[in-house]
Amino acid sequence: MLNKLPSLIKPTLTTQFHIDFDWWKKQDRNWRNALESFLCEDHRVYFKSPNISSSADLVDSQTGEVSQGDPLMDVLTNHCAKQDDFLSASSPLVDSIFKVFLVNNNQPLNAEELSKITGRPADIILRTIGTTRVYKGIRPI
Amino acid sequence: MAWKSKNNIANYWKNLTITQSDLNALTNHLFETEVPEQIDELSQVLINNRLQEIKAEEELKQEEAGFIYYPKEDYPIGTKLIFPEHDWTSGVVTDKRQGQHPMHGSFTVITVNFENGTTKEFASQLSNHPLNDKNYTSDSAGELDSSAIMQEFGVQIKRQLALALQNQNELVLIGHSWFPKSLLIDISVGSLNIAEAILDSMNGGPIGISELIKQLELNEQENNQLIAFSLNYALQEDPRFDEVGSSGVFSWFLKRFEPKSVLEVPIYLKSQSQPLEREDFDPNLEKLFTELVDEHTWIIDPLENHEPVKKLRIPLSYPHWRAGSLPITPETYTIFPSALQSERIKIDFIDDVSKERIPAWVVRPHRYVTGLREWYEKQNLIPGSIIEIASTNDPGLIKISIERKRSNKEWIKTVLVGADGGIVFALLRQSIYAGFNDRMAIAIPDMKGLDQIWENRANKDIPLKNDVTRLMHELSKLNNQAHVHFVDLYAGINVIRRVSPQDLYITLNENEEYTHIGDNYYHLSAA
Repeated sequence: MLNKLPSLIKPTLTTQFHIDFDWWKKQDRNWRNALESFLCEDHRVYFKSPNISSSADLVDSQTGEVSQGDPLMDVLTNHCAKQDDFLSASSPLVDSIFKVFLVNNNQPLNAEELSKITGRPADIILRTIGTTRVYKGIRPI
Repeated sequence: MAWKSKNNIANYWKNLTITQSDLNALTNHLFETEVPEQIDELSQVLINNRLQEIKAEEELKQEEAGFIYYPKEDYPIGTKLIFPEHDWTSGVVTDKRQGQHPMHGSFTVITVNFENGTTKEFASQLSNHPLNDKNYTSDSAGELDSSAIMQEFGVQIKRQLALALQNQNELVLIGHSWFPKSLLIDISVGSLNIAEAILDSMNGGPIGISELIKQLELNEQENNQLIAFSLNYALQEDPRFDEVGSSGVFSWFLKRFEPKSVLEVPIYLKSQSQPLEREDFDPNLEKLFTELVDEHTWIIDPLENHEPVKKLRIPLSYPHWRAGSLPITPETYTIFPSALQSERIKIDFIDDVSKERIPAWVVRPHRYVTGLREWYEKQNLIPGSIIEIASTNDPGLIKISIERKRSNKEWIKTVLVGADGGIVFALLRQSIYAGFNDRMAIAIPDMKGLDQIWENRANKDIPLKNDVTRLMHELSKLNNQAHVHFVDLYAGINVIRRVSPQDLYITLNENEEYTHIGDNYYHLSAA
């Protein structure tokens, strides 16, 4: 019962959000394309090439241990999101918020905190991501 | 990894055994420095030596266990590796292949078989990875900081080292410092005879070591510190001399000139009682015992860091009143000076009012300070009077005072000695000149009569219970309910024999003849 509560409660300025990747992957078949649009130029080219494998050697940043997995998220969060021009002021609001979560390793943030980072008004942020419509998997916790 | 657990570290230092190899290392250290060192400094050297040994041992173990894994390194098949981030487990590289990842460029993936049978893959030849900057050696050394070890386990280490040093003969103790015996300068018997003559002409002394060196004309040689050290050692080993200087100062006295009460424990202070560990003691009982300021109650550990006490009030028990002494307890311990070497220290009390100086001696092994008999008489003190002592800037000078009262008459327990040697307690009006503890105050009109009782009892082994029952009878007459307070009984029984609070307490609580009725009151059980 408890895990259903967040969707039933109307979000406020202090409600925390994050990208719910699992939910997004289940709900939106275009999630991979959407993610690719955030890649840096070099990696966008790389992932567009036809022979690219969907599995790679993912290296754990804490232990050096290698596991097999999709490199897209790894590249996006550990390389592209760390580029200087990743958070640009000209991005649409939802994209800006999505990028903030990619940069901060998807740590939960509320509308006021997102407002300080993106420079957009908190109430507009809340009206955008706090409705029943979910953009790019950004949901309340 | 032996040092990963804090418990391991604590156990190691708490249960440290000093080996011959430790002592050899300390001897070599002193040979190199040629400077006498105290137990604190030697303990620090010991800790550093042990830490180096441990580090070397760990490095060897690590070498045997394998190389620490770093993602940047290239590891051939068959290499043994340790993985600190996997709880320091180790495994062997069994395979390697080219790694595939769009972000990392060219790197290798190694397969590692762990000792527990599991297999995992790890990145190698990967130059850009946070683990490459980790320094596991310094992490481990950080846990073994020598000053932290000294702070936490210093008391145990010093105690073990002091014990080990006492049982060897390469290093000698002079004052508080240790030095190799073979480096000392030989002081001739002739010089020691002259030293005796010098002290004889001074009625025993004391004389400081510098002055003595000067008078013996030993100061023409080069190393004055070594001469002083060697002469101190020669004097220390000669039974004619006693080192009596207060804390930090070497001062010598001719033993045969020392007062009798210094060389021999006065009959009133002799006790077989075993001091107790204070830790984990019942707080109420601890308070009761501590207020009595009895030198036989608590163990004093000189290696422990005692909280310095500047001023203390002591209720005078009959034995100390009669012997002209004061007790050394954990509380008074820090007020009185500690000699560099001797068990006896010459000090002066200074009367806080008259500024008169009273020569006295601290007799550490028997826990008393003697020399105050005349001063007690002059102040008209009685057993139970309260003395205040306070330290001064000079460790060899102690302030002493009483709470002065105008002479007035008070109803005081008074000991009357019968012609048959029996004693009776009665409440009589007595002139009082100083503040006193109500329960411990006892007037003694016939000191000689009591002296005779002590002498008569000296060689008799009278059971404590007999005397307790006798005293209970006597003291219960002074109370309407026939109740006797523990402190009244302690003060009373100490008029005829030296009894510690704990021995009295045990007697009262282990015999059915006495009933504890609460609040430290007892009465004789009905027959």
